[in-house]
Amino acid sequence: MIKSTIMLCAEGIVRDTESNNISVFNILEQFTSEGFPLFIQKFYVFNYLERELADPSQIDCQVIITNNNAELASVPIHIDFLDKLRNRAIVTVNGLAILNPGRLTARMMLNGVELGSYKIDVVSSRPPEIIPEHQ
Amino acid sequence: MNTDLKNIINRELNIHILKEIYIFSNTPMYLYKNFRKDLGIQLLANKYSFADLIDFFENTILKERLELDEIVCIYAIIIALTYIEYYKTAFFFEKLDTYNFKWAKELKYIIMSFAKSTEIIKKKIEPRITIKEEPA
Repeated sequence: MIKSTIMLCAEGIVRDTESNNISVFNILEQFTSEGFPLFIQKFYVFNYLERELADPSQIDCQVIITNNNAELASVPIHIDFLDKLRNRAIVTVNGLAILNPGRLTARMMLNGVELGSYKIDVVSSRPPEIIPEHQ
Repeated sequence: MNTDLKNIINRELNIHILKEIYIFSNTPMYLYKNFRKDLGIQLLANKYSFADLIDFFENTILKERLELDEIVCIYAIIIALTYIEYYKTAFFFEKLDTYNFKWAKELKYIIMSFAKSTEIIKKKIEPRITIKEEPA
């Protein structure tokens, strides 16, 4: 069975060609903004996938990004494990507008089944409105 | 194990070049990269089964005293095994650090770090702009 053992979103992900290792910088946990929509210029969605030998070596997945219930992006990914049992899939998302406070969720889907997900809180920092008392 | 395998392997490999690389290697990554470039080592992976190569490795490593040629052969076998489908050799590499030779642990981690495929996808999300017309 194909599994996503690590899924996360971060500001930066790089692969060292010398060692083939992945480095992740600034894992996203929360967005805070005074106003919405909030524009995110660039972020990365990382998935570490594992398969068993009986599983196919090539699969077509989708990364779906939602803000609360609204779908913001759906990214098709063709994953080729080659002769390996593990794969790292890195999706660079350029230009995402988060419409409302609440939650941003990235889901890794395979044939309608969720392999993994990552949730980021989206917080409005707008101070509470002060309603003047009527005299 | 095929009894002639040792002689065959020695014949396939250009042991002088490999010895030079081995002696010159100051890091396991240097050894790994330069041994992988060697055509003789690539031929080993094509000509022999992984079972034969592992058998040869295990019979050689158990010796009390190893000659330089044998040490170089051990490294050559390990690198040759990296050309074979990983799922066949994973069990061998996962226990590589249990064998007693220099850079066993380091080579294990180098090989295992390359035993993953990577997909890099870029997605540009076009902004959805809604223009509201003001009533005249």
